Amino acid sequence: MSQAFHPSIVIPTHNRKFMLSRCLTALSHQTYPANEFEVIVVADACNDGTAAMVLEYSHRSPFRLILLEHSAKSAAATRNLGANEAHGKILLFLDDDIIPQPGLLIAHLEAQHKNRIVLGYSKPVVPEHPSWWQYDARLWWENHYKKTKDPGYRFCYRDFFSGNVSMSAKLFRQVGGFDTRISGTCEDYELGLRLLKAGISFHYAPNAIGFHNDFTDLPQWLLRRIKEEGIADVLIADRHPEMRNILFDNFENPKEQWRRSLRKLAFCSFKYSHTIEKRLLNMISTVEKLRFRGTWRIMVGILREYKYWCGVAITIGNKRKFVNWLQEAPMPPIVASNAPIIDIARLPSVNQLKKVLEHSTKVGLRLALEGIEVLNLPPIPGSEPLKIEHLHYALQEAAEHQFIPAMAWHKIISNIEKTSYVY
Amino acid sequence: MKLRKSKEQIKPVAVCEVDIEQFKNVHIRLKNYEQAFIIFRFKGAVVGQAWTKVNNGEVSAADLDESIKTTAWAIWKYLACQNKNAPWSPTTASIVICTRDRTADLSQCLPELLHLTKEGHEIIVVDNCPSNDSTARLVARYPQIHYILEPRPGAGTARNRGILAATKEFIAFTDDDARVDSSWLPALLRNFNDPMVAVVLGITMPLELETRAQIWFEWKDGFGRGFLRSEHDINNINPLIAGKLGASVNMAVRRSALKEIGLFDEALGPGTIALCGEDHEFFYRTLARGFRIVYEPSALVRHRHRRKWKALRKTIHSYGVGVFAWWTRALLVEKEFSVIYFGFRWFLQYHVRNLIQCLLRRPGRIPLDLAWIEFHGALAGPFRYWRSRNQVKKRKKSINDEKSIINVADQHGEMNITNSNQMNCGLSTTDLNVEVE
Repeated sequence: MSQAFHPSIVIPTHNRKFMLSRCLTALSHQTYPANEFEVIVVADACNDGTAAMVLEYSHRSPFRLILLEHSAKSAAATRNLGANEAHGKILLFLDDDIIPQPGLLIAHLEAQHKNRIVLGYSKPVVPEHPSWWQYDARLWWENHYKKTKDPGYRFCYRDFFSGNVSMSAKLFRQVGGFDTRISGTCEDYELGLRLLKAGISFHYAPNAIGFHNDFTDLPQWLLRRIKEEGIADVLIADRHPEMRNILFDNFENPKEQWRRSLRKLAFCSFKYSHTIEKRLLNMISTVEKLRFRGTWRIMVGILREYKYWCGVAITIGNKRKFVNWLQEAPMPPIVASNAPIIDIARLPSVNQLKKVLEHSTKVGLRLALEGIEVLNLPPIPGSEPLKIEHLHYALQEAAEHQFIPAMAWHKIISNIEKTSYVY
Repeated sequence: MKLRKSKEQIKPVAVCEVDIEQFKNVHIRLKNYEQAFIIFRFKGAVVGQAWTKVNNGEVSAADLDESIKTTAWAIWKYLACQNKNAPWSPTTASIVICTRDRTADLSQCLPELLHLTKEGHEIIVVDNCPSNDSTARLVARYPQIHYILEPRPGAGTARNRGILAATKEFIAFTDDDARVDSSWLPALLRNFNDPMVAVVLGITMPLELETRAQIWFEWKDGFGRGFLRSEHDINNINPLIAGKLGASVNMAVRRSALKEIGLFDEALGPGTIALCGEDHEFFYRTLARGFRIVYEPSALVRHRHRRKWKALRKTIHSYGVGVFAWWTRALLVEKEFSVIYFGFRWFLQYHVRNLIQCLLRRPGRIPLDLAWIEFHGALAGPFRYWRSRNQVKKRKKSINDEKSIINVADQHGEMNITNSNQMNCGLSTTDLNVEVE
């Protein structure tokens, strides 16, 4: 953490003056010396006096504060603009609704490593009288961070959230920054995918805590974000054809019949979706008032599915185009018949194992215990390269439900302990 | 085993433990018993139980082998979950024991807890509305244990008093008629590693099975909740059936989560008119506020069930009352309208069905007197809650009057329970802080 690092913090904002000022105040209490980092606030089409507030604050801020303004109405373009103007070698992207805790910056910098992305812990905070959806969202976030805390967790591009993440500026420019075609949400997923394709690994820093005051509620999430997610998924899959059949897996034959009907409905009714969704939203709020949790969950699930496919339909146009578009792309990969087998009872040497894992990231891996096949690990596009920790984690996940992986998992622990693998 | 025999024919059952790692060498010798209730343990965790016959004062190895097979999956699950949680750094906790006129039981419960004070944990005994000072004198013998007198009756009131007096982040509860296992507290606390876990519940096993009442209670799975660790949140359980997760005899609570969940309802619990249900109502709010409840079978507490049949009847009656009392609260305070639907369904599917089974003399039925008294309790539940609530309100009013004279200081300012939550638990924190000793 020498002078050479000079981190730059990039905060995109849009009409959230109060939250931004709270975020800036919290940044002035960092344990990292304030004169050694800069903060770049990029105001995107703000008309609530954000610029004046930031200018006023910059006179008394202990750190260097730069204000940039434009009106692109796109989070991706806003972040790119901030990153281009940054002088630091490390870029830390923060959202304006995050209140960074004093140790956040230092935790990010300590975890920084060559070719590594550091993901912080945005601890969700619920508002005063939370709705069911807000409770659910908090649980979802906490579950996500709990999962990623495991050293054997295999990160995928969907774990990349731009709200609290740091990377080297060189790397960011190398991969070309955020894709400005994706203007709503999910532009971070696309960048995460490109980073993973470039062989970069992710790292979760649980000490980089920022309180995330996300006051989104169900209507906003359902009507806007989910639709934007559908649009973004199409754009991501357009740029990365290998993701197409994974993102839209089982489009024609989903497991549940209701999903199939909803997809059909979305493709023929996306132009008139407003009336349908308004009715459904009203019904959902009534059900919440009556506290019928099961019904509520089902209805939210239905509306979510419908809105997502509306987003897809808007971007593609019609169903036939969509099916053709899917057929152009390669099928999701499966474990190849010649995929390498690792016998857990006789683990190869560390170097050999590394080679095998590198190969099996592309073609898949079969795990065996004394000749009996225990678990298949198909190659997953958009995931980290396989490491030995991942085998451990995958076996443990399977061990909870199945007997044979449980035995294998037990074996791998003792093996790792014996041969002192770097773990 | 048949329990439908006359009173004289039911013989006491021996309760014993078997450690699975050394079960080959175990010879269980039990004189004067014809049956045994075996608790299987593996590395401290409880992984199974079995009712076996005792022949010539010994449990046969064949019987033991047969029953041990049922524990296989619990052992695998235990091993699988063991490494899953990231390394946990030990913390200290407050242990709160609420008691009311059961000095003899308490005198056996306290010595087993004493070693915990050496590790930095604190023990608080809340004496709830005692009729004499014998408990106070008992606790005075142990200088390391804190004694608090709570003159207003009710388990909810007593527990709240304990929570407010506790100084640690995690608060573990047990009862005066229970004995804790040596690894009980660490096993409970380990689960707080996950920030969303607000309540951890342990496993409760019988301490003795000497009388018909005790055997029947255990036979009907009085506290049995299985041997697999499970995590529950709003996504996988309906908070209205939170009662099936466990009970307050063996639980730990995260204090910082109480800001959102609120305290126990003072109108519920033993000692009030509503008789029971303060813990289940608390679990309901925990789940409804989006937190997680973990059931941890490694944390063992042995509970002495009611010895007398009459006392058992009272307990079963209170269970009937308690469920409907706290559901009434959920309906009135939390506006949980789905209670109406679930309440009716449960009443028909459980209480009415039990009663009909008794009358038709179906196999597996429960004794008629118990079925009837539980049915009766269920009908009385909503009214009893209403009366209890009014009583608490009245009590609160009279305390408020007193307060203006005494002018009590806010002694537990660090609790900082917000206004909205004070309303949730029906009483304000300042009321709980009235110094009455």
